[in-house]
Amino acid sequence: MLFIILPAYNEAKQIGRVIRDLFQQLEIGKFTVVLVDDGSTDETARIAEEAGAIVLRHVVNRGQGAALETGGVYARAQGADAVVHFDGDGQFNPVDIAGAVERLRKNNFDIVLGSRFLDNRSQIPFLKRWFIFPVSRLINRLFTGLHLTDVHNGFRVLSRVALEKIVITHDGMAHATEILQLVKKYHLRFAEHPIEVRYYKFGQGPLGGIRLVSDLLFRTIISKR
Amino acid sequence: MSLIQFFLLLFFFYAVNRVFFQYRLGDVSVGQFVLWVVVWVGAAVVVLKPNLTSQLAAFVGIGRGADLVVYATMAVLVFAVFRLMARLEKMNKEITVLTRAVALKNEKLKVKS
Repeated sequence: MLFIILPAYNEAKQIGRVIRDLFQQLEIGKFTVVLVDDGSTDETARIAEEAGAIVLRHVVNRGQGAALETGGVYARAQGADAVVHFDGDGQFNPVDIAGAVERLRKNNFDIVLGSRFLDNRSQIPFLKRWFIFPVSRLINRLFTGLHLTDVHNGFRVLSRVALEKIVITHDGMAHATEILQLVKKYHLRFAEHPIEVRYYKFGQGPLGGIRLVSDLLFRTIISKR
Repeated sequence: MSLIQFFLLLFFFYAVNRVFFQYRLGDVSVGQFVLWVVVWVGAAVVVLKPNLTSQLAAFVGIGRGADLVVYATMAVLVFAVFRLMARLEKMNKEITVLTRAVALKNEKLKVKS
């Protein structure tokens, strides 16, 4: 059984549409949508439940990494054979899931990572494409040793094997780098898959990036994991 | 005795008092109690006998006693901040574990009812 995990924080405006689109547009057999409401103060949880998702509710906001891991724990317990990490803000195209899952299953990959750079559907803002991404890619390479065309877009498909191995301990945005570190550590078979990202808001700015790197460094200093 | 010595000693006396009461209430352990008493009494000794730090400073190769106190204090403070950050990180992790457990338990309760 496939589980689609959506972390969401105050996404009441979009979340209903995102979940309905998944159920209407995704032709992939049976799947479960798990929404992890990360301490929202709006109606995210209620709307998601009405749209047909299973809702796990964080009482307080813990960050996207923590929310994904909560979904992961649930999916493991429910016997998921694969999970999809998807965004609750409507920036991904549900249609991309089918191709990515098929790629994972047919080629026996452990994890398939979405990439905005493998086709030209994503209209990436100028500043991001030419300044932020090159720097992020470099930092990512330094921390993970993996050569990827894209960083931190949040679209992933994990096999059961990857789901068992990838236990996220970084609560904030550094989880995206941590996942890649674990891919490398456990020699998981990975591939990139073209996805479309629609830009409604800027996402993580330079300050967020600095925070992410300091999180990674601090954790490296205080623990051996 | 100069005025600054008087006020500092008064403050140290108050600090030792606070530590003692916190120990009596069970808020600090024996180890912490001893550590803090040693810190405050040590500070009082330094205030009463400033020459002691000058001798110690000369012994370790630093010019003035006051410099030695500043260096040592900074080292201790930086270490304390690091320890605090590490503890905060641990507490954050624990809060996440709790939050997750509550989320999963509530989902189970929903399924049952």
